[in-house]
Amino acid sequence: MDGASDEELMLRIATGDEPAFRMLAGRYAPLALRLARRVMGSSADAEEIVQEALLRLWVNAPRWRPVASFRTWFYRVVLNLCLNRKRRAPFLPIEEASDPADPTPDAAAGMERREIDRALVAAIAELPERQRAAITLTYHEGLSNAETAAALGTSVSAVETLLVRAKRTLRQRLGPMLDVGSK
Amino acid sequence: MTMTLARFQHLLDVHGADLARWPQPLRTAAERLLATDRAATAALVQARALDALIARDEPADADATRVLRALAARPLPAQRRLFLWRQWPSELLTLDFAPAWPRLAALAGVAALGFIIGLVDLGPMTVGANGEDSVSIVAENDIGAVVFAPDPLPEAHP
Repeated sequence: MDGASDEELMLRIATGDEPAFRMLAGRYAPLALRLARRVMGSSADAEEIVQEALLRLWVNAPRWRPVASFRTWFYRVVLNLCLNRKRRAPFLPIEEASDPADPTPDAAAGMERREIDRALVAAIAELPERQRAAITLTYHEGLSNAETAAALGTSVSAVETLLVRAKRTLRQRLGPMLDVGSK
Repeated sequence: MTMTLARFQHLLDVHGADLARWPQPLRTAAERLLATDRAATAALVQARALDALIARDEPADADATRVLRALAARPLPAQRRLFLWRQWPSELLTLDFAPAWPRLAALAGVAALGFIIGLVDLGPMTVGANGEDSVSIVAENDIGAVVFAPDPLPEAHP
């Protein structure tokens, strides 16, 4: 069962195969958690959402049809849960992104880099959820614009609009750092 | 295809700064613009820097142990089964194995309806500028009327 594809596992899960479900859950839980954390900005919310997404996967497996890749479909389930939920904490607390003080001679350069990273995390976290999701899916999950559209349940042109708006905002907020950040 | 700077900036945001990933016609136009426009080159440099910065913010691998442990600690809920009359083996419900008779019946029904319409003379529904009826006007342009028109050459008759 280790080498079974996602779709093969889903067909088994549809018959009530719990070990197949545990295997697929283990395969996708880290990925889903990473995505949900980025969209929600909160680890606690993300864990609840991923748990709910996996339970929905189990409950609805008999009705699932392989018309799209399982990965894209599951991204969509996770993102729908994220976007439907009320958000209280818009982004990760700055403390979670900080590192301990660096005593090495390159400490100044390291500190500058950390400042850039913090600014970047904050800028991405303050984007509207759908723009943040589009950025995360294309840059960090490696999805094409078409796959991102399928995951978000929208059109390719809508995804392109999300990316254009997100990058415009990021350019405005991070403009002075772009030359520094490329070093 | 001629590309403006504004269009180039838009496409940088849509497709990213790696021109190798752009559709070929757009890539060719972009390269032509870059060969002559310094502002376009500056935009490309900035886009590469932004892409590199965003990609650097790769989220750390998430530890899903807690989630998986919570799932394992509870019994799984009942699955949502299909209704009895649709309870085919799952393989039969993929596109290749779905029953075809509903679609064949619909196709036969449409063909029969078209045949009947072609046989029945419905008369002019509207009148054209020269007094000709709309069926004749449509018949010149409508492939369906070519197949089902009762009289393909109405102008031949007094």
